[in-house]
Amino acid sequence: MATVSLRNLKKSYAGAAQPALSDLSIEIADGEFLVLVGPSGCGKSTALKMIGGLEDITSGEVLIGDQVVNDFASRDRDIAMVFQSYALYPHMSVFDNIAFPLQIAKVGKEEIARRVQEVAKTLQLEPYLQRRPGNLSGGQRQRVAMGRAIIRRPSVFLMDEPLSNLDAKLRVKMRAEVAQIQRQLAVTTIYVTHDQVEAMTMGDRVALMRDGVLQQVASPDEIYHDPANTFVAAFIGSPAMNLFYGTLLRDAGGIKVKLGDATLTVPDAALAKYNLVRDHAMTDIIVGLRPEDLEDAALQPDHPVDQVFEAQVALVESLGSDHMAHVALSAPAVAVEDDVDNLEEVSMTGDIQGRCICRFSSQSKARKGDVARVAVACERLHFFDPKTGRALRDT
Amino acid sequence: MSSAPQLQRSQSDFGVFVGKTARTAVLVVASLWVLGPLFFMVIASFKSVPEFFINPFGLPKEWKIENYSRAWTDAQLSLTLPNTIIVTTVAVLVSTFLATMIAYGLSRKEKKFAMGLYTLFVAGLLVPVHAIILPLFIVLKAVGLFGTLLALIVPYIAMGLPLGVLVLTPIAAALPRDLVHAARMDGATEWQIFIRIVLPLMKPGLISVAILNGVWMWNEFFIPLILAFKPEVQTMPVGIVSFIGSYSTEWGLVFSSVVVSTLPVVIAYLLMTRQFQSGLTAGAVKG
Amino acid sequence: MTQATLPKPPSQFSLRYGHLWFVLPGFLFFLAVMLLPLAFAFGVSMTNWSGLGNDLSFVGLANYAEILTYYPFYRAAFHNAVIFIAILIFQHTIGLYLAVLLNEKPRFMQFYRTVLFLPVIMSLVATGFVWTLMLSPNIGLVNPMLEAIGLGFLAGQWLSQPGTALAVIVFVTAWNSMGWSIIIYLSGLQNVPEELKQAAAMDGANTRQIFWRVVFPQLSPAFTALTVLTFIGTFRTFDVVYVLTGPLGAPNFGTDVLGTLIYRTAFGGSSFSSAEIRFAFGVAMALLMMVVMAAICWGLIRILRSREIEG
Repeated sequence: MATVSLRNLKKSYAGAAQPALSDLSIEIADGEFLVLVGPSGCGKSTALKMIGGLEDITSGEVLIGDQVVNDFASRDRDIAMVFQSYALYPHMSVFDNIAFPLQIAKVGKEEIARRVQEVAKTLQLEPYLQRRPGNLSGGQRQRVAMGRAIIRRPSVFLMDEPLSNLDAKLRVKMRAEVAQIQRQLAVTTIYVTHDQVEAMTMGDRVALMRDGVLQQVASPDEIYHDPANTFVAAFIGSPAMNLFYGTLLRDAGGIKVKLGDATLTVPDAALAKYNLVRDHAMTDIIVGLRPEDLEDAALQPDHPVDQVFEAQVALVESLGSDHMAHVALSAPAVAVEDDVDNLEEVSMTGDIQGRCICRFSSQSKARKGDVARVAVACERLHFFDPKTGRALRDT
Repeated sequence: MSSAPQLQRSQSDFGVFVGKTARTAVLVVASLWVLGPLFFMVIASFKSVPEFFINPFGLPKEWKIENYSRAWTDAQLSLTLPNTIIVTTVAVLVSTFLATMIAYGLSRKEKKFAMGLYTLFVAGLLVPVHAIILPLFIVLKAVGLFGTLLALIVPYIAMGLPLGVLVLTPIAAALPRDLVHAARMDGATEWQIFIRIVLPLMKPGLISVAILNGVWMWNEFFIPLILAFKPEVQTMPVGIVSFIGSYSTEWGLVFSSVVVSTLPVVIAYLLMTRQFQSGLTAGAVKG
Repeated sequence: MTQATLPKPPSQFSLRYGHLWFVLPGFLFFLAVMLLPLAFAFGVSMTNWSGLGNDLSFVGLANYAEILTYYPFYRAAFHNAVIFIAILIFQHTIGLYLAVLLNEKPRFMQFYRTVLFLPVIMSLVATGFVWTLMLSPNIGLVNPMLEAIGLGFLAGQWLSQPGTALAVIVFVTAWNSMGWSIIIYLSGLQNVPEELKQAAAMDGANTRQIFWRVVFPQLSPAFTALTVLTFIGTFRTFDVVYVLTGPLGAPNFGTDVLGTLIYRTAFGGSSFSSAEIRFAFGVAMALLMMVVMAAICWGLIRILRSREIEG
């Protein structure tokens, strides 16, 4: 068991304009399950490989326990890794695959047999021990890869998108299993994925990365409810948070935000959370609205009238439990693209008519073409700086 | 007019039949062309000298098995057959193993240095044996290997490398990187990774290379012609040719020697026809 | 995780170049057997060393200059070229045709395939002896067979007539190397996607058109491989000539090829006295041949590959 500390980790490749990873610092507690998430090419796999010793470190330090392991070979770091491709040795039986780390460590034959049996039992692999990996299903292979990692009882697990080659149903099942095994063993785990659902459901904490830069490290709830910037806000959550340019107004009634034709009062709760909002009065800002915070006002007669706007419904998708209503808002939407180089360039979409997605409950009668009244849970509005994209609060 | 299609059809049926027969005939003739001379040679290897002239074409009236026992003693096969086996086996094993090591070492070809080495090894295919054989002779003599089987084994090992590197490097480069990484994570040293992961995974390529090199080493004529003077260190092709100098009329003896020298490769080929054909072709197409 | 058992970190050098340790042992062999002798040979080629004794002096490029006007060199190269062209034609006609026949999966296909490839694994020495026997005027089968089918006027002393000796070399080489063309073309044919042929058939092409317009262009990689292989093989030929007509390229140098010429010059043929051995000159010829062959190979591959892309 060990902590893992990343201190100002940097990776740059010769010839590349910008570093693949810049200045990554995270402290990971003993036994913690940390998920590194982000779009492809964001540097999360590079970071993982650097921790594992499979990639040179350009600068910065990796510590496992109290030891700087930058110059250690992978085998001397006391870590185990599960690969996206599983990397099972195709010429060995399942037994030998799982036993391999022990065989290398020259553990006695009986001890190996006992421990492989134990692991196989945990992972329900007992019937398959004599098979070759080529004759196993995807889920079974995934389990063998897990088995090979846990048998050595390392101080740290590294997992590189271990579930992404499974079909959707199996993925959900294995997600729970992996998380459960990790809790059982209480081994510090660093888990890389591009799937935000995995990130949210599995991790103690989630580290969101983009273009080699860490955006936010926080618990799943925190990263969802208190995103540090527009990128985090847009990446986490499905459907994504609606982001619009708006203007802050201040009048006798307090602080209001104007989104195109609509004007919403900002309640004190939101102002308390986004404590820098007051400084931006009378200027443009970015407003974020989660779809679930937007409800058909017809179903909420008690909702304060100053927290409601009217908009034409462009499309309704029924999910059964909910109706996803796409309404037209006459405010410019903010596009947060994966390929935008930096946050300063969060840009306006061409047309001023932004689409806003609302999660109406299934009782909603709103249909395509109707003008719907949308009740906004304004205490859960999010505010961001229009230039930097940062959340308007002290961190 | 109306019967024309039918006529055409029956004609083409007949045509198909004739065509098929003609094609089979071509294949049979080609096979006879290959097998006939071999068969004739095997027959000849059982004939006595007088019978060659009395009855050159028929089966021998008296099967002279002793041609073979004499080939064993007089034509020195008792020396050259074991020599050939030892030289080929050792050289094939060592050369293939070293070529695999090189291929694995070079397979990280993003390093310019490795790419240069690869080109250098492969360029070795073009080096004419004629040009290097005398310097080689001098070196072998200087280090005291001349007059031993190592005088053949050492050059064979080196000369097997270019083809081995050529065939194996792409195979090594195509090995999934994650497997090597996984083994590294599992605590294996670089050498353990090579022996336990890389080598077994490259087995099909290794067999190709072993066959490719084994065939030419077994059959090689020119190098032992220069580097192996006496029967004690000669391999069969040279042994037979130099033996003929003194016994040129003993046809039965000559052909029994040729049969003995060819038989092991033919048997190996018949046992592993597929591997031989694909292995040799792999080398040829890449070369 | 006690400090005492902590392993030593590897050096930066071993991280960066560690994999080259795998190259080293093989490289040493390669260096000792190929590179150093080659460098030595190049040095020798600029002297007049006979190969024995210490009597030598530096002559610069004189050996190379002499080759340019050395008639036997051109004569031998011409014979190599004749063999190359003849084998090339043979491979791309008969070899290709047999491959096409085998690709139709006749009965006993496996048998034909095995048999037709068999000579490839035989040594050229054994091949040479087989055909020495077959062509022997006294005990060979060829002459009586020719007589039997009414071609008796062709029968003769095959290996001692200047007109036929080279043809025999070609014939025997063809026998030994036919398997290459069959297997290489066959694997090329098997790689032609079935859909392509079916699509052409849908478009109304007949069997012949399908072969020449659709299948044949797909075979150009096989054509390239085979042509280069044949080029290298025929210009290096030595064993067949040595066994069939001897190191002198009998009769009267009618079958003398570069291989035998260089051998004779550098090491002496049976009827040469050692006074005539000119090792340095022979080595110069071998090196010149290597350079020219490398250049031609490179050119061949470039020309044939560019054709492949167009095709």
